[in-house]
Amino acid sequence: MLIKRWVLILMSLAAVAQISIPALMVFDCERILTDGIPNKIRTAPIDPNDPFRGKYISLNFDNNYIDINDDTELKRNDKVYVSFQEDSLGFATIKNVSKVAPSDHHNYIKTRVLRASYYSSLNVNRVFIEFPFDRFYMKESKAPKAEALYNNRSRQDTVEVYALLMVDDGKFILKDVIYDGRSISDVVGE
Amino acid sequence: MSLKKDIAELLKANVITPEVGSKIQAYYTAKSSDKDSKLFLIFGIIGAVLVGLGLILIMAHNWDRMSRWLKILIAFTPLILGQLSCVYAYLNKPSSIAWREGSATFLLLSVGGCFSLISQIYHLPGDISSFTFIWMLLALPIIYLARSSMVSVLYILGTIAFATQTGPWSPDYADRFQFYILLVGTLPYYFSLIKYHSHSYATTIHHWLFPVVISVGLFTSGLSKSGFLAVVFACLFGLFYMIGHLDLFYKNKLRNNSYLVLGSLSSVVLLFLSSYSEFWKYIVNENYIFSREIAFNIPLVMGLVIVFMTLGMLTHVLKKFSYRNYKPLFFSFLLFAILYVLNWDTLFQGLVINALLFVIGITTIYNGIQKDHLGILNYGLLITTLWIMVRFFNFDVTFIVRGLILVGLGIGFFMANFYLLKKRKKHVN
Repeated sequence: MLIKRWVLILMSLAAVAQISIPALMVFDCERILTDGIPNKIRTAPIDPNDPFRGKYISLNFDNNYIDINDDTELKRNDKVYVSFQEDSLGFATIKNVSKVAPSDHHNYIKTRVLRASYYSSLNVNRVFIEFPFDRFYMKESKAPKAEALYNNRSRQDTVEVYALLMVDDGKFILKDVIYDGRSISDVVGE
Repeated sequence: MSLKKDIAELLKANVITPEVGSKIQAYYTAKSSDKDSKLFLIFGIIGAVLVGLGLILIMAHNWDRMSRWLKILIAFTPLILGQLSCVYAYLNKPSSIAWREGSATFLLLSVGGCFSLISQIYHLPGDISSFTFIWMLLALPIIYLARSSMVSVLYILGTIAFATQTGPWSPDYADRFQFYILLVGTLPYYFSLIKYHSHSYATTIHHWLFPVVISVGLFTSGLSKSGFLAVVFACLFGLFYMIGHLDLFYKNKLRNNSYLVLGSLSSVVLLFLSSYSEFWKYIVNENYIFSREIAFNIPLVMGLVIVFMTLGMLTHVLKKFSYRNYKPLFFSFLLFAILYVLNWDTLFQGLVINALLFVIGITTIYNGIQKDHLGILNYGLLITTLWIMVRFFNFDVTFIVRGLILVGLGIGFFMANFYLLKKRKKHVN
């Protein structure tokens, strides 16, 4: 009887752990969605899928680098903190990359260096950053439509597409992908 | 039905007493119910796996009309159902293995499903290695609390997956402390299986999986950047081979002696690779333990632990067997390590390994004949044949000679098998 009680207590503890870790993830995500700083990041989506989590559009970025005039110690796979700033059109660009977390603001993410290479024509070290928010999960039937929509866009190239990223002290949530001012999910749902 | 008839007939003819008749009847009834419960167990597990995977796929459809909170609720539902079914199985079906295994397997899958869905809902980055680690860590208590061998098997497969996801080629590679945590996590369960259920199917499956997870773990450790890895592998395979000679395994059928089979096969493959002098040139060039500064890290320490364990096992095996029963594969790792450390001449190293392979082939054939075992005999023949083919075909010989060698080998195979079968027949007669 005593053993049975102990097994039940341990079972409950395991159950609490199994529920609380994903639950903590949910709370953390919700906190970032409400308290985070929004950043609009220009994107280029395409359509693959994930066997467990379903269809998503994969986002590509062309402004995921920063030019550094001085010598840089940064190299591939280094863990870095990337701070954002807003440009004149309201889109986010990389303001700064450092190995220590900034203490004067909250608008930065933790990620890693893709590569760093020297551009002799510009006389700068260009550091490319991995933007890990590259998957936007969609309903199975919508993801291919979103892809088609993007392909049309790239021919006309007049429509604005960007990822809306909520950022808070190194953590981030990809809130939405905006196509011509509306959620891409709504656009393809029509 | 026919059994009943037979018993009735035997009773009528006074061949057996009624008591013996009812004993026979009881024996076969128990046997068939045992078979039924095994079938129920297998279908229970398959059912749990299918339902679990099916739910994950249905949820992966991503129902975007649902609110975020409803999706989150749905993500947690299978998890809670799995937990409740485990508790139900524990309290109300304590003797049903099918209930225990089925509910535990379902719970394991629903833990992974819950994480997948939350990552999907919040579009979290697909960091597969940390996902696998947390999933397996949360699944670990299920193995012990539900005493589920199926969950343990899936857990070991998850550990293998984690090892491949975090190899030195991955940006997530560090000292891989996490891999060792996962590996150690399931050891007590494995030992309890050996102790209390040494002849069950579950134990046999574990016996096959353990050498694999350890080998994959070693292959994906940081040592794969160094030539020292080859020595550690030679030791590990030798260790497996010698474990296969412990009483616990040695009396089993070969198919249940995974350590002996895997240890022998992988040692022979490694020896074939190292019978080329290019192999030694390559690993000596990569030789960081002796040519660069020694950096003490976890993979290196684990490598050294394996080397010392193998030496310990060798002394144990040498004491256990008389010298007539020593096998060349007991010593192959030692020879390999000596050749690596001395590093005299790559041609010499290749030559020694070739001689060893030849001896292994011949002694295996001899063993096969001694033990009257066709499998062992043909394994020995295969080693010898491969050795001859690999060596002779390296030289520039004419097609006639090559052809003659092949014909000779074929006849050798035929004769050896024929001899053994004839010997067997003689024994029977």
